Amino acid sequence: MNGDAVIALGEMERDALTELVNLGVSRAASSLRVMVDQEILLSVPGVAIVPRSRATRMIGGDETTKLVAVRQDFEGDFSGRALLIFPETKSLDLVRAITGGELSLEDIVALEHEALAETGNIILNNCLATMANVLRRTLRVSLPEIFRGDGTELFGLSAAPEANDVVLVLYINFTINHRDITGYIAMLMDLPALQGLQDLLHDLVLRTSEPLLTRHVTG
Amino acid sequence: MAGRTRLGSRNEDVRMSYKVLVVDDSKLARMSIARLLGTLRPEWTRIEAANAAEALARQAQENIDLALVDFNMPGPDGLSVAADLHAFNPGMPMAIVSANNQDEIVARAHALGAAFLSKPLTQQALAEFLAVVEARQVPAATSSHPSAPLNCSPSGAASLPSSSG
Repeated sequence: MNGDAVIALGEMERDALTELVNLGVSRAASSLRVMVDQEILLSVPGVAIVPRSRATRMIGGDETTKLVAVRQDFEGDFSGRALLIFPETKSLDLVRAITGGELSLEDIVALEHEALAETGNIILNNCLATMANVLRRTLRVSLPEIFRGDGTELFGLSAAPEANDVVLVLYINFTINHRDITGYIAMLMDLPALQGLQDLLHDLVLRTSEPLLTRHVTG
Repeated sequence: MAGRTRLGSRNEDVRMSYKVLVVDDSKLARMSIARLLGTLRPEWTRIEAANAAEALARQAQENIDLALVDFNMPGPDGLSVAADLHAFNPGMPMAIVSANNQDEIVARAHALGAAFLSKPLTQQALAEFLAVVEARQVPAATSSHPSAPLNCSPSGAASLPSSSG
């Protein structure tokens, strides 16, 4: 039942994937920095191949936490779902941070849906575009959708109800400094997508190692 | 600063061979930087470290002339590593290399006298940074002033402050 046994990423592929996520999320954080005018603190990225149920717990926390997520599906040589997730209780705080803190609560509530969608769109596209560029591929990205619910609902709603329900999860925690707003950027891919990604990672590693490191000093 | 050695004897062609420390938790990222350095300055020596502890250990063992440091790493981040490297050798040129070009991070890099280079690092951006480092090759070890920041243009390329001598 352990997903890690189904598909194993090699050490270099995992390294490359982690670095890729790091690049993507770092760029996304730079965009969010501009939007909220506060520094964005990032964790180091996590990469795991796990059953979908475990992915839920990794990102969603306990099942009583109500989450709001902006989600966008991406398609191309690798496909999956990108999510910007944070506790629902912080949703209005995030909108307030983005709109500059001068709007009334009424206005913020009215703007919430649109502001979340646009924020997610900028952050997730930034992340996905950076990853696609490094892999030299083009991804088609769907329009952002807002989802509210607990972690189980968030990850269970996918159109992939097949038996082999193991997913690749990439996740990184972010905090908006001085605002007490913490969330996740996450990506989920199922197995067929993972094969495509693995090929691209392999190419990336080969490309990067092309010229031999003749005068390299180790140890 | 004894790691640099003269490669040329004529005055107009004095090239120093540097020992460059590359600090990044990702092997792919280290490979990528090594590849660019190998193309631009094949005669230079490259030394790698995957984290803060390794970086400081290598600095203590070797006469490092230049450091390229990733920002987001497990454990102490790249700015913390750069601060420690700087404390050990205040005259050593450094660059923080990251896709995370938030104002605060770039400003903290500059405050340490380090350049900020955008990731993925391009050959052009690294070439410009190396040219700046070589151009300001004053005997920094004898200087009583901290080195001026190696500023970056928006493209990620490094440049000297105009007032720099």
